[in-house]
Parts: sequence; C-alpha cells; structure tokens
Amino acid sequence: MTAGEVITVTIRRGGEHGAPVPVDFRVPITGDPTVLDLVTAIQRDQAPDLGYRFSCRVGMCGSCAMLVQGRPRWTCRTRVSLVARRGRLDLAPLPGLPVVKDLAVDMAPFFEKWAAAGGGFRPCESGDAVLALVAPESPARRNADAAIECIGCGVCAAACRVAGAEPGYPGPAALNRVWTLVNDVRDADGPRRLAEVAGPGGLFTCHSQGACTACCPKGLDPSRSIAGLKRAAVLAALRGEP
Amino acid sequence: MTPVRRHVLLWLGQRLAGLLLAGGLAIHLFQVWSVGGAALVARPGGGVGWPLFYAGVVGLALIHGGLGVHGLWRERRHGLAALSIQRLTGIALVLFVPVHVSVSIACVVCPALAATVFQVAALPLHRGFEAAVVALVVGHGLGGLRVLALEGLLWSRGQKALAWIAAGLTMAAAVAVPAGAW
Ligand code: HEM
Ligand code: SF4
Ligand code: SF4
Ligand code: FES
Repeated sequence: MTAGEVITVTIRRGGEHGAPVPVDFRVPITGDPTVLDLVTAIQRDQAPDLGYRFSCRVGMCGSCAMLVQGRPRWTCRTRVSLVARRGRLDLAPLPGLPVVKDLAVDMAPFFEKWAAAGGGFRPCESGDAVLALVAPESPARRNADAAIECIGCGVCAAACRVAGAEPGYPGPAALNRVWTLVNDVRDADGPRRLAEVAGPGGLFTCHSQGACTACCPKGLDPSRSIAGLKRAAVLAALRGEP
Repeated sequence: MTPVRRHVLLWLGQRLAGLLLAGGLAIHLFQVWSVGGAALVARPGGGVGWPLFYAGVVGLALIHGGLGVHGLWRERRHGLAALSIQRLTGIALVLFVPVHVSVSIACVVCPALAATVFQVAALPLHRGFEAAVVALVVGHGLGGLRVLALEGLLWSRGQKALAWIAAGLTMAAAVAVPAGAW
C-alpha cells in the first residue's frame, strides 16, 4: 500500500450485546500509516462510535494490541505497508478476552492471571535500610533484565494456544513476570514463588513451541523465561523443595 | 511427596527418557541403515548385548510415551487447540511402536514368520511406509531435541533455524535410512 491508494479495512465489530459482525471501510492512504492511524482515521471520518483503545502511540503503554490479519500485534508500531495484502486489512479484537466494544477488550482477566501467579514484588525486610547490590553482569540480573521490559500488551497470551484453551494456565506474560521476580535478589518470595506456578495446569503446561516469543513486539522471550522457570522448578524438586 | 513435586519429577522423567531415546533410536536407525532389518532380527550368536540394548530402548519408549499420553490425557480439555507437530507425531509413534515391537519380537522368535514379514517389507508400498515411519521418528526426535535445547540449556534464540535444520535432516533420513536397508 502506498500513498494515494485506497485500502479496504474489515473490522470485526461487536460488543457485549450481539454477535460480532465484520464491517468494511474504505480508507485512502496518506503517508506511510500505522494500523492504528487507519483505525483512528476510520473513527474520525466514518464511524465515530468505533470502539478501540490506545494511549502512547509509541510502543510504550501496551494498550493498542489487536488481531491484525489474524495475528496479534501492537498496532501503533505496525506499518500497514508491511501487513496489508492485496489492498485489504483484517482487524479483530484480541482473542480470549471479553470484548468491551469492537476492538477494545477487557484486559482484567489477563492481569488477574499476573496477580494469581504471584506477579507482585514483595520487598525483603532488610531492617536497616541497606540497599541490595545487584551486579549488572550477574546471571540473575541479566535474566531479569532480558525479561523486564514487558509492556503488558497481551500479544503473547493471544498468540499462545495453550493459554487460549486452558483457562487456569497463567500464560506467557504472567510467567515471564514471575521469572523476573525469581531472579530478583531483593524479592522476599524469590524461588518460593516456583511452587505457586509449578503444579498441574501451571508452567509445565507450556509446550515450548515459542508462539509467544515469535509475536512479542518488544522482542522479549517469554518462552525462554518459562524454560528458566521449568529448570529452576526441576532443580528445586530434586532438592526436595516444593 | 507433594503433588507439585510429583508433577515436576514426572515431567523430568518424560524429558530424560526422551533424551536417552534420542541416543538409542539413533543407534537403532544406524543399525537398520548399515546391516538391514532382516540381519538385525536374525543376528547370529549375538550374546546378550543387543537384546539388553533393545529392552532398554523399549523401556524408555514405555516411560516417555506413557508419560506423554498421561500428560495429553490430563490436558484433554485443550482438545485440538494445543496440537503441535510434536504432539501429533508423538501420538502416531505411540500407535506405531507397539506394533513394530511386537512384530519384531515375533520375527526373532519365529524365523518362518520373519520370512513372510520380510517379503511384505520388500513391497514398494511398504518402502514408502518405511520412509514415512523414519520421517516420523526422526522428525519427532529432532523436534524434541530442539525443545530440550530450550528447556535444558535455555537455548532459545535460533529456534527457528533449528526447526529448519530438523526438517531438512528429517527429509534426508527418511530417504537415506530405508535406502540403505534395501
Ligand atoms: C527419538 C527420541 C525422542 C525424543 C528426543 C522425544 C522428545 C519429546 C519431547 C521433548 C516431547 C515434549 C513435547 C511437548 O511437550 O509438547 C515429546 C512428546 C511426546 N513424545 Fe517423544 N521423543 C522421542 C521419541 C518418542 C517415541 C519413540 C515415542 C513413542 C513411544 C514418543 C511419544 C511421545 C508422545 C506421546 C508425546 C506427547 C506428549 C505431550 O505432548 O505432552 N516419543 N517427545
Ligand atoms: S511457548 Fe509456552 S507460553 Fe509460549 S506460546 Fe507456546 S505454550 Fe504458550
Ligand atoms: S511479554 Fe511481550 S507480548 Fe507479552 S505482554 Fe509483555 S510485551 Fe506484550
Ligand atoms: S498505543 Fe501504546 S503501545 Fe501502542
């Protein structure tokens, strides 16, 4: 798609009321727009009641994820020219979450999984205010660093077929978060968090096929984080821990 | 033993058996390729080494396949959603291995039966089937080693390249192993 052409955007519209229906919009291309630019143009010029969500527009907030051509993506940093095929673009809300309206889903169940998996940091009680010294090149610090830049967009969870099929599975984002905490020496729960997520339906439900990693727009590697948790859980079990 | 610990250790057992199977089945495929199935079954005066080896491989397959099916059963609510090539080939192997092992044992015990079996094995249709079976086991094995590289060594980047290499080697083995045996 180049400037001057007209693209047909199919948006799966619907919400709490009524079954979703695909609706076509014809949008003239100006410049080299992102998918989010197109959705905004549609809302401005053709469908003022179109529901969608965004905030930062620069890949920081994680609120703009949708299914683009059937694949979960952040839309504020996805160029139409890269994903449109034969002058068409197909948009739908993220799967596996309740639709609020049109392209906006309720992210609460996604974040509830983080909470349930123990995604909250709990500081050590150091008594006197001694700061933990964490060497930048220590393996634990590197592991945490590699996984910490998650923006909570939900793309990985939408890409994970296991998360889609098994409601109890914490999903790649929540487990990626747990991996950062297991590697955080300042966290009071540390490795004890493993027992929370290592049981049936937990992290061993992951098949290591890496759909999450392939789709994460931040280039994070939840699949590796989960593999790290698996290894840590196995070592703990061999020590007789959980 | 806590339920969590049991769960983790069963998983470990499935993966370790898979790893050892990779070695065992590589040796087995090499044998088939170099001396052929008929000679394997008729192995003259072989001592106890090979029977023990094959008993070990079958035992590992029982552990690995059994725990695999156990896991699949526990996750049956996923239905078709979580089927990957790894799983489909795993299920196919669980169906094939018992037949293959029973027929092979029968051939060792009864040479007359072996003669018939190897007549059938010489049919062109059966050679296509052999290629498919080799593709199945090599594809599943290499796909499994790729998973083990990630889970055991946290070797994650380059998984896509590994997948392509696995696919290429699978094709090559599917052609070479039966061809060597003929
Ligand atoms: C050649 C060596 C083999 C290796 C390296 C290997 C490795 C693996 C690995 C890593 C998995 C886990 C996949 C996942 O969690 O999605 C797996 C699954 C499975 N394997 Fe194997 N395997 C081998 C041979 C076999 C054989 C001979 C059988 C049949 C008896 C078999 C049956 C299965 C089954 C049924 C599964 C499904 C379990 C599941 O997906 O949860 N495998 N294999
Ligand atoms: S690697 Fe695990 S978490 Fe990632 S998509 Fe596959 S099953 Fe889901
Ligand atoms: S891990 Fe990646 S895809 Fe998953 S929520 Fe975080 S930023 Fe999004
Ligand atoms: S709008 Fe913030 S990440 Fe896309």
